[in-house]
Amino acid sequence: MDRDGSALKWLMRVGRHGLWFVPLAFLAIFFAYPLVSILGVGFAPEGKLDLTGLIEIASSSYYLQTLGFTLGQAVISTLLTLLLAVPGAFVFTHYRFPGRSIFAALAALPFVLPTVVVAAAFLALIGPRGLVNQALMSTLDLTQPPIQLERTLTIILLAHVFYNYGVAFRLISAFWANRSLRIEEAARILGARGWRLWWHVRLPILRPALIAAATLVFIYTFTSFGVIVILGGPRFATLEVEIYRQVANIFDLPVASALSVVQIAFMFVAIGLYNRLEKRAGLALAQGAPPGRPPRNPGEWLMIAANQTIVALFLIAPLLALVARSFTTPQGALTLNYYAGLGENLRGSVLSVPPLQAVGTSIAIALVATALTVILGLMAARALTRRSGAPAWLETVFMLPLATSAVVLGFGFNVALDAPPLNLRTSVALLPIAHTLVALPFVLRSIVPALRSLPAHVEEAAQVLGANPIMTFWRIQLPLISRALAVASVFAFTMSMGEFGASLFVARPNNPTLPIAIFRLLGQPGEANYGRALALSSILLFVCAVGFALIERTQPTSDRTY
Amino acid sequence: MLSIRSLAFAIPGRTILHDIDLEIARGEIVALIGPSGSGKSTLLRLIAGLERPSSGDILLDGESLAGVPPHARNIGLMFQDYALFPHLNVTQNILFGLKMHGLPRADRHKRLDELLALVNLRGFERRRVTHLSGGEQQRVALARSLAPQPRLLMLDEPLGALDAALRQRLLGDLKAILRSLQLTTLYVTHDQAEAFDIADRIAVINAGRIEQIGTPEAIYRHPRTVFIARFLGFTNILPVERVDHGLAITPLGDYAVEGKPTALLLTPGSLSLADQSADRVLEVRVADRVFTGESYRLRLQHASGMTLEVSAPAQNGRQELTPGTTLGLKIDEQQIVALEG
Repeated sequence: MDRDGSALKWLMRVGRHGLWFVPLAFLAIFFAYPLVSILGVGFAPEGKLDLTGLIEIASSSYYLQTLGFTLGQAVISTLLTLLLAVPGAFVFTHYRFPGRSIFAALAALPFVLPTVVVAAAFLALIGPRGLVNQALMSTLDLTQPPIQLERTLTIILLAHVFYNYGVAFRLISAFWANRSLRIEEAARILGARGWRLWWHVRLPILRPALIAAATLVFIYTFTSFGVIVILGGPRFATLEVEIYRQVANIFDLPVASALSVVQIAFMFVAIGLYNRLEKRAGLALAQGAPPGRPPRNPGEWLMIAANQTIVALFLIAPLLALVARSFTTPQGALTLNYYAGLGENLRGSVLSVPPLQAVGTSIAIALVATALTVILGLMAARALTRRSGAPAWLETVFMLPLATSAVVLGFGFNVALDAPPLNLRTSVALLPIAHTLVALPFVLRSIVPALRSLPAHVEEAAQVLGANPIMTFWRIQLPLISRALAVASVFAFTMSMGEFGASLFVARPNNPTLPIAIFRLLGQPGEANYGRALALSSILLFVCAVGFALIERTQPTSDRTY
Repeated sequence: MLSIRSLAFAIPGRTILHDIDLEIARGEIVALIGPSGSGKSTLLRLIAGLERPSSGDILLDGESLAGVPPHARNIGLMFQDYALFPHLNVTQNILFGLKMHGLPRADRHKRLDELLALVNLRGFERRRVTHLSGGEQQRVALARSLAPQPRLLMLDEPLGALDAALRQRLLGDLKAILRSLQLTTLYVTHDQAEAFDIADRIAVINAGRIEQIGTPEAIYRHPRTVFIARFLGFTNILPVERVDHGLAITPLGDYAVEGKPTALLLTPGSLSLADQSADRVLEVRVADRVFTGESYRLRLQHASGMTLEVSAPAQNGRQELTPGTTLGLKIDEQQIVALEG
């Protein structure tokens, strides 16, 4: 073999290994290093072991209460979500009725919405300046809004249920449709009816799906941040919110680090549990429309109508209220002022730039983050699906960012990346990098199964016909996974557009992203700020809804996992 | 042309191929037959470069293929499931290899015409491969493998996915194509009839070892081992208890042999029904009789417990062949084949 040949071979070997080395290095620098830095600040701020932070939170009733509230609200939100999702899934899987598939798609929409949009939507509906209060005040001639839900636990729980209904609904109904309909028929033939059918047959069969859905909703609500910060006000704090306040307001980094450690520990347990459940029960969110039958009697029609009405109202009303309120004055007149005002730089505003600029900033960041996520995702996915095999732990490693909340990630960036050796504090690169970390596991969950389900041997057939590895990937594998890739890209884009928790730490004050601009505007008094916040939220809602529609269209039988 | 030397392949905990030696001459069609799991497909994958051998070497036209990646070998491989590219149409599938080899566009389309004519697929140019029947897909896969004019063509169970009637017809077509192109071919199948039909020589592989190589006639007449005899469909295999001074001791008597066979194959020609009173005739009882159209297949039981199968012409009213009757069976020692273990 001549020198050039062996050099080429060496290069190709590096190329092959580089494929997973690149995303792995990315995770090491931008995920592992920040987390380790958090541990450092928490346990050894001066370079030697110092557990003051941990002792402080363990011995303080305030922090224990915070943990208690975090757990408590998550448990209640989870139970409420399941209470609403089980009947919804029952009706959807057992009956055929007009609008069924639209309903199923609609139910999943809130999940892709940014938290700030959800929070703004609930404010627009039942907040003090919301549509309902406005209507009540003008018809009943009141001076004070009669519904006082802002800064209560109720509005937080409502928003959480709104958010997570779709996830629970899809998981449970897919499970129901896939396996238990037949068993139910058998049970019926054997004489099971009414509550016995529910108690002895349906619920026991559904148990894996119920537990998995509960775990998933618990994970989301346990790490809830935007909803609590915006709707809850200063009275309420989850761990996530407390970490943010410790860093942003009190500058107590050791306590924030100790809280982060507690948060990470809970998340690892919960995510580990969910992955086990998912593997064991063979869960999927596959959404082929189950057969079902037309309702037979008025009772069944009534049940379906009641369920659909409640859920549709619950899911649609806040979003409609958001859009409607962004076009109306407090007096109820139509206006475009809030949108027109997006181009102005308000004097004395919390934003030093016109709000519209935040839209541009977010789109630019989202484009970069999407490209970065897809490229890293493809590298990682290809390494994970190589026949010669990647090490088994690699997939777990690539999924790790899933087990870290956005706020902890942002805090980690704050601690690790603003000092030598890696000073990126003022770098514009931080936001896309943070968003890439958040989106990467989701993108992998779309691409890896697609690569794994490629027809057997097509890759080898291409090689035998003379295609080198690069050509094989470019001409065969990439075109065959284009749908999954499109879904992954849109998903990464919408996630980046709406990302809030991590962005709050790393966004530059004079160049906010869309969610941060909304958050700041909502925190300010005055109708002008409020209206602009709703207008920006409506724009963000529109972007995410379009993305969602694209995903649903590209993938009619959606096998996206949460 | 192709020369395989002491080739071995192992995965952790299991050796798939042991010490394979095989020579294929230019233009020759060699069939590799053996049961599933015997290592046939693995051998093809090693030759194609899709797996790396644990030891040994593969030479093509005298040059070692070690370290040559699959895309640089120009060896055709047609997969059992065809592995057509689902996102490309018939033309794009067939021309894929030529494109990868950098053939100019005009030449590609000239070659396409030839290939479509060869496999009788004119008019299918723009069809999606996912909308083709099994037989049509098979022909696209064949044309695709032939397109880059491979130095060696390997076919892995090319008719395995098709039903019996279609298989017979396509086998004829395939044979004609391979003969007309005078292509060096390695043909893998588990169906010995298919191998006999198409191959110049046959290599029988069992548990990762080649047990015998030879022309179809030679293999059929002189199967070397018990396994090969069974695989070829022979049923009357007589175990040898021991060999004593050139005499093989068996449940059905002693027979003069050379060497130390472990079993004797009683070929169909060696057995005939005879008068019980004649010399050296075994007494057997008809245990079962199956009418097969042309003849009866008889299952005959000997007092030692051995059962033998013979066929007898089906004539009207052969009452003497009904189960339970006793017959004489003559064994022609000249037509016995000694088998190894």
